[in-house]
Amino acid sequence: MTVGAIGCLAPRAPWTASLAWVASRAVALIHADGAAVAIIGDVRDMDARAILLDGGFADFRAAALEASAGGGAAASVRLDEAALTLSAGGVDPLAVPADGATRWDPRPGLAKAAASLAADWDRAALAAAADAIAATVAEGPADEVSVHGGGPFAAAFARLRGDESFPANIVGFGPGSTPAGDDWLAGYLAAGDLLAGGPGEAWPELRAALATALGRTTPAGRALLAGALAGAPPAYLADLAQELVGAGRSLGGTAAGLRGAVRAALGKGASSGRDALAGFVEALRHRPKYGDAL
Amino acid sequence: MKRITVKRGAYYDSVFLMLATRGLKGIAGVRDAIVAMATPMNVELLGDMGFPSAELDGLGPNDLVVAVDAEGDQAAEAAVKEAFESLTKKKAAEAAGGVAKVGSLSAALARDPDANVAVISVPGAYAAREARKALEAGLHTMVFSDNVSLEDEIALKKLAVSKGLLMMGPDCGTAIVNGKPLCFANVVRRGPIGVVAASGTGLQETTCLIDRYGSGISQAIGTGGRDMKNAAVGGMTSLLAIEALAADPATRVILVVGKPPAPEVAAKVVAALRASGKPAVAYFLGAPVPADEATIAYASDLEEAALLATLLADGSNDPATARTRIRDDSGNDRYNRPSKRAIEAIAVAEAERLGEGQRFLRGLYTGGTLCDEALFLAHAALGGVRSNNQTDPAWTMADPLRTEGHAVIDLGDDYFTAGKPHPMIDPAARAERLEKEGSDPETAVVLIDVVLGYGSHDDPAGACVPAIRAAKAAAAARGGYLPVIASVTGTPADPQGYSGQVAALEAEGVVVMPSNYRAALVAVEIARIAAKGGAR
Repeated sequence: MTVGAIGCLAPRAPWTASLAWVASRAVALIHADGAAVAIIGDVRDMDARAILLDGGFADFRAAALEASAGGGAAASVRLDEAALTLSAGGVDPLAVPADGATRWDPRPGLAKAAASLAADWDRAALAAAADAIAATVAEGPADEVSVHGGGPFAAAFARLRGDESFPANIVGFGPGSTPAGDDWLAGYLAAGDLLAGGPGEAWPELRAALATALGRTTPAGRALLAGALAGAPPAYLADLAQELVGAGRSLGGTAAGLRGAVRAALGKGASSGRDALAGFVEALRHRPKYGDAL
Repeated sequence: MKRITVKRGAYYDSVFLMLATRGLKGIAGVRDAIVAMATPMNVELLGDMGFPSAELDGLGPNDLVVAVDAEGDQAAEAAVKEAFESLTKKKAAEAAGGVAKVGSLSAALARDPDANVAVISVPGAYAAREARKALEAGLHTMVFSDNVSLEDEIALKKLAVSKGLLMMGPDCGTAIVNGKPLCFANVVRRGPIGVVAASGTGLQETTCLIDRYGSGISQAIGTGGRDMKNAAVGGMTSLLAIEALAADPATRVILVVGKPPAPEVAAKVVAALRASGKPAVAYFLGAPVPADEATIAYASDLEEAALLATLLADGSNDPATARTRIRDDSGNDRYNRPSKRAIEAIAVAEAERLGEGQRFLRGLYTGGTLCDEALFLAHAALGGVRSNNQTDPAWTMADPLRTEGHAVIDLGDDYFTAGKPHPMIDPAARAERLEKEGSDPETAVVLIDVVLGYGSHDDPAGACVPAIRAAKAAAAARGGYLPVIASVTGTPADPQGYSGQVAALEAEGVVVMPSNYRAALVAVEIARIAAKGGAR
């Protein structure tokens, strides 16, 4: 087991963060900066503040569960130049070598994709792509808990859409450890950047508004939005953007790849992928509210 | 009655929060429930919904809030209790690695005297003894073990019936009791459909499809394969299960799934369904499909069984009305199931790339009932399919390791699993066979199942990928093409995730259909075209 890659916005070592929760595909930490850091075992789950283990994630996860036996408060993870170390009272520390870790950054690939899109696509093609993504999403099961169904979150989301401040007003809104509104914004910004010429380019006013609102969301939401604001969305959104461009304006080419990327996105979290796809489609379908670079 | 409760500084993953919300919504008397982090936006929403604002003051994004809107104090109390118990249990389960280890059934009961279900999974020779202990202790009993004698099964079921207890099994791989998946089962939403199943993956496929169609499961009771099939067992568990579901106020529709029952048992089961006073659906694999009765719909495949149960639970009062509601006013399928024409188009598109000599269907299954469903369909359509599960001796594989002609193979059969893990747990044997079939120049199409849920491999689709690549590459090297058709039995809430598994297969060029039935239709159609010399 080694640390294979570290996200481009992960806090610079050395640091120590408390263990917050253990999910099936991630061990979540809360850093002193208030945002989460995820330790993962699959590059498809990577994000700008995540740390990817090469081999042995299941063992690390099991050790994290054991370390949290006292309630989790005493368990922590430290990252320095040499190792990532999991510690808790009464449990032997688990040190994972980190000196060979590479830096994970989706932005160069996204910049290329954005350049290719600007050269080749028109509005009709973007609308068709949005329809194709939405159609694949619609094949999945309905979700009554999140912002898409008929429950209270969905009704409130519909109201928020009508507000002048939308979408800046949805930071921290909705269910989930990463609130659905944050996922929606991550998808919206990822697609917006694709249309606007590259990572971090779309909607500067919206970005400024979101940057001042990060305290209104959860640690996991803060981590997600920090990446999205910097133009470095999670791997599954970066893959989606690249597959979209790869499919070509006629949606021939690697359209199967686009469908696969949408399916993969739908598999993220409880409703995170679906929420992010909704934002992504919204940005493709509508003229950007905060400027139109296309 | 609106109640707010808070757990400060509490972190849980999103999937758990979603499941907790669903669990609360399933409690009788609860109108609505929200389990969310107390961000300012969520607190504002709760205030707008009329939840007491005083209790929301001072909360922040690191606090967990449980909001319940119930019909009365009692329901609200029950929901809050359930929410915090589930939160506490998750922490406790995590702390213990999810398992408390004890040395015996009595030690387990001493640790948790309120337990009312025992799951027995020990070598078959000892299973009957442990099951008897459990039944005598007043526990409903699920016997996962196989190799329990018929005599022991009859004796255990008589004991269970005398005590009003359910004896699920032996060789019962799947059940969902009070929303809790047991052994190989999926994470499905709770709802009004009660299932009695004499088949493991039949129960999994129908419960997952019901979840996908928007309904849910009250209880899903496995019976073991011999319960209905063997006249001496006489359907004892099935009949008691139907009786229990008939009395269960949370169950509005009863679905029975199984292999062909003994005629006298079938008559008793049907009589019990009639007497239940509730709409029912019955599906017996491979058996002739009778005409619907006033309250009983007879399905012709697992997908239809799930769909009819969903429609009956959704307000159709009788089978005839339910069948008319499968399509909307414009004649379109309400559940987006691919039409016959769409299936033919998919098959033609795949078959037109086949090379010379590719002629035969090869089904490689991990789930026994899914295998049977595909086998019966293909055998009738293609005029003869070999299998280790064949009921026709003329078509039974003499050597399950050697494939000849059309074949649909159950790789979870005892022949393959003696001394080895079941392929739903370890898909290596299926992957190996898939690669082997791909190297056969006569293979025209490979049909597979991918079964998710608890108990199954943590990435069953991913485990097939290298073999799919190798098989497709081998066909391409011969100047042909190998269609691989699959279905994924699972839900988005399963530990493996549904969409990601589908995506992993589709990324390899696999055609993923929404049910095993539809996957089998596509594969059979490709084999039909191949038999005529290909689409060209």
